[in-house]
Amino acid sequence: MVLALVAVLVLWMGLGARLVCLHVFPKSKLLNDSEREHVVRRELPVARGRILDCRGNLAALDLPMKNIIADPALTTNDQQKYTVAMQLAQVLKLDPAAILPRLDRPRSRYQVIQKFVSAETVRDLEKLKLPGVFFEETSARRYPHDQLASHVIGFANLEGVGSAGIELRFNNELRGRPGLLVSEQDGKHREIYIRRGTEIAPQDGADVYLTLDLNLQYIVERALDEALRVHQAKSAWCIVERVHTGEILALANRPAYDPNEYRSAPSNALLNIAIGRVYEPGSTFKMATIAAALNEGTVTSDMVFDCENGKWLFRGKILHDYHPYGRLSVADIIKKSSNIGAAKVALTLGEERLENYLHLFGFGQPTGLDLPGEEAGILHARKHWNALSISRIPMGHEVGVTSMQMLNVLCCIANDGHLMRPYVVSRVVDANGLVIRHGKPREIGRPIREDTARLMQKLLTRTTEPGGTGTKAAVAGYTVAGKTGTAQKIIDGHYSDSANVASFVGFLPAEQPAIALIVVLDEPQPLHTGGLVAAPVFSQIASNAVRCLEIPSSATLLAGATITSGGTP
Amino acid sequence: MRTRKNRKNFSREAALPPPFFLLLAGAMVLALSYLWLNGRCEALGRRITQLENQKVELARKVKLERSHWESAKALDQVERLLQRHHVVMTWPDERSIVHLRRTTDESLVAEAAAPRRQYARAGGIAND
Repeated sequence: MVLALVAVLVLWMGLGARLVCLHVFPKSKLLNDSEREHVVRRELPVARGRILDCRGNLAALDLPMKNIIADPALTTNDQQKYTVAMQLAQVLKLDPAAILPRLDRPRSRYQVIQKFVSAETVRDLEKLKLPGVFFEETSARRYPHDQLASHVIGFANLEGVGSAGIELRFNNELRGRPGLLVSEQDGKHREIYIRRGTEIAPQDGADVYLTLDLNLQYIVERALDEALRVHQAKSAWCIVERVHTGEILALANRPAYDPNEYRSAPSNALLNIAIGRVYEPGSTFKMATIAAALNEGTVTSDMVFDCENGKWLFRGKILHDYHPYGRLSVADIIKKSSNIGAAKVALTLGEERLENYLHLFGFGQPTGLDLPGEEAGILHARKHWNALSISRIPMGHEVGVTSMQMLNVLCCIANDGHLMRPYVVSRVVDANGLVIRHGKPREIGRPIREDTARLMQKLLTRTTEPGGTGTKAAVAGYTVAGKTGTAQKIIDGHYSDSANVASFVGFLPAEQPAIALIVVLDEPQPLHTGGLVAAPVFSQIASNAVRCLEIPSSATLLAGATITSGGTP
Repeated sequence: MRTRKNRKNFSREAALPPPFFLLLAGAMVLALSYLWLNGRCEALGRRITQLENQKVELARKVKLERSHWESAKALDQVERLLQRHHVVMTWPDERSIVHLRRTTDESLVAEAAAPRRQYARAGGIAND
């Protein structure tokens, strides 16, 4: 009896000693095990910021999605595996043969069946109550307008990192900061709220508001699609810019891609051609040359030059005009787009002044647009010019430009000589509603005087009048000013006779410029001149744009009516 | 033989000394209060967690609906619907657009509201 009592006592003392050991001298491994079981440390997911247009239409947002996960250890029966695979395949529209091997891994407890599944599909699967199938919360980037403005918006990859366009350029602002939750949970893995220790709320990404108008963007893209079809061009692109501020209202390229399916997009469709392709501009470049000469006073608009009936031998090489002309005034050189006339105007200016003006207009350097991938173009230093350069550069040969540069020069002329930095982001607003970045109009130069710019506006208006090269760019009720361009492409080191870049760059209303557009088509067939191919597309886009942006007609302007110009409602 | 207790001489002694009893009672009240508060906190915690989950779910639904709405009002979608119903839309002529502006001038607002009040009186509605 006593022995039994002693044994019980010893047992209790042993247990007591063990308890003391565990509590007073705990082992780190045991502590870790206990902590792992009870303490839950969770990163709180953060939503990537949204991208919106100037009217508040959503262009990109994070959508809550689910991943379908299977636990093969819970589906041991072959018949059961087959049934689960068949039902999953039916709902997810997958091949059952692709699902079955994943369920046939009894040692695995985690097999991804499909990622980023919509709520509707998950609801259908939940009704089936499939054994060993569970859902994991996740989110995916979605672009509700599919390929609309895809080159501006860009895309974020599966890890939520911006990889193109605004998504890339403003990745730091858009990504936000994830939160942290440290708490304890009970045996059923339910959080014990009163034991919640650390809770750092996630800071959602900032919203990026664009200057783009998605309605106008749609009009532009539809017109480009049609132009591509009609003219069988390799590619086509267009930019619409507000003249006085530099706001980009639409920027579109064809071919384009759907950012929701960016992984299946062909590589040529990913390039933002409007700012990333450098090409010889052809005759649209003449406006820069003539504006420079007028500004320097080396020519006047009514000064007459002999255009040599279309053939001019200059330093041993013949320079041709598309149509032969005799004597043309400077005003008519623009209207008829004479290469010989432009070259002779440039000769009055001289190499040094021509080079200076081209630099002042921003050629050879990026415009500073807040999008990634903008090219600087090519403008060789004067010391690398050859004897013919002074006659070839004025007509848009031997230089490389982007469409953004070309449009910005026209905007400078339309804006009374003020060269503005183009921009596509109007503001960035953080999750608390604070504006952390404001896109404001910024003047980056003033290459020509106001009177020169006004004169150039008048001269460019003549291009769309009868007898000009850009008559097809006319818009009913509005006076259009602009310039056509047809540049031969260089293929195998020679100018091609069949491959051209056709363009039209113009602004309207000419009396009080509000918007400027550039339309470019690469290798249109069989028509290939800017006046026949690009100008009609310009007209189509501009006639809808003026209504979309509520720009008063020329008649209204002349009547002196007070209608606010071009503002969004 | 058992001796009987003299009840008259029996002095009634308390089982616990009064200070100790008070201490014990205080401790009991404290413990009960703690338990009640703990239960209350746990209930509130559960409610908060439930509301947090609800908020997350609602935010999720809002996002999904916003995305659906954006897709539904996308211009290509609208155009497809118009084509399906053989509706041809054209842009309005500049002269047929009437621009309305919101005014913040109180006197103008009051002036605009005046006829409505008179009408209300005539109709016998006491809403003025």
